[in-house]
Amino acid sequence: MSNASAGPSSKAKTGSSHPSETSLKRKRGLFQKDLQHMMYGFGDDSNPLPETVALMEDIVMEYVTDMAHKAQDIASKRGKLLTEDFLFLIRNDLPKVNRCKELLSMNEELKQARKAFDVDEEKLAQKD
Amino acid sequence: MQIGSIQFIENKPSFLSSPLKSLLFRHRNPSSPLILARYLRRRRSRCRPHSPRNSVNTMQQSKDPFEVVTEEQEESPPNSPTVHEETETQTPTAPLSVNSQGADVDNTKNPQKSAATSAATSATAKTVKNKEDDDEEEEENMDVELGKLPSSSDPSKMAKMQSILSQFTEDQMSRYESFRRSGFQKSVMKRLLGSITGSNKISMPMTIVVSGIAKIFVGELVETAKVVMKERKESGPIRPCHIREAYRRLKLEGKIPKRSVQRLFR
Repeated sequence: MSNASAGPSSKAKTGSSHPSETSLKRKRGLFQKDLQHMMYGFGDDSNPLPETVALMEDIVMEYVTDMAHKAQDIASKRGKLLTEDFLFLIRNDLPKVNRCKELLSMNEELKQARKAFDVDEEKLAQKD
Repeated sequence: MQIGSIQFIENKPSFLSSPLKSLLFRHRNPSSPLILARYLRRRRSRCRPHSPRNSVNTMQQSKDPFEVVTEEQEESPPNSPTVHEETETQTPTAPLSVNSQGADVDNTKNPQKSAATSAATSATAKTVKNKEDDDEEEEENMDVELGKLPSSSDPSKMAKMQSILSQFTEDQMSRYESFRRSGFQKSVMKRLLGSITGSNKISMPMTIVVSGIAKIFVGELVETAKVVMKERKESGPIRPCHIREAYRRLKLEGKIPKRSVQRLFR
């Protein structure tokens, strides 16, 4: 069991009730660097306190875990876990909804650009 | 295209005083897939690290290969493949000039840009360069996200954004840069989601969506914590007690998903 084998330096994963998570022990600085920059960007001091960053990481991990569990509950009726399940969960939160729509459309555009680029490269290769 | 993240800024009290109407976009030929595609190819070949910054202190001094790519990219929007190849030769020179930070970069880059654009044959490149000389000082750090952006098809929004960004102080600019650039690592998030859901294949859009949601959540927490600090008339870095109070307030608002099963024995 992951909990039994967890060393003193690593924390057991939050979902310790799920036996499937044997491989992932929650290391301390999983999102530490990213979170520091993110918190500075959102208004914190340029050097956020380490305990604040640690607490943020715990909160974010718990948030993502809970969201994923809820999404799975929703998806279990249909079968597969889809992106739409996450979008359904945040439907009431307007900033998140808009941001996700924007991210997804940007992703699509990038995909198209990649495709177009490959086509152009082929054309170039043919010309040469 | 709706720009959701800027709406988010408008809705919340934040250090940015003026509403940012749209994301800044530098390319004048916005819909060309070649620009995006060329950028992507560069990105692939460079194997960009997520964030090369060594510490939060040196945040302002690092130059991301991303920036180099997109700065080079903007020099001449390719109208034909020949232009494309010419600007590629500028790539080795571009990284040399971008290693210094601050106003020096602008001075060294502008002559270089003029060299680049004189080599380019298209007339549009020159007009692009002229317009972007002004933008250079403010935007050199913004290139990461901007390169990813396709068009914001509203020129008035772009103009507004430029006028706002041009008035930023250096402190504001670095904070904005952190805001735009920071994000959760996709690989880590993918692994995390996979371990939570138990399924091995987490699609890329799902990772992107969850990372975006988590980032906005962090933003809500930090901004609420700042509000709490202001109420308590405290200053300095945010302390855990502020975060806890912010978390409690968000819970009252209903933005925290409630656990259907109570978590015992954490």
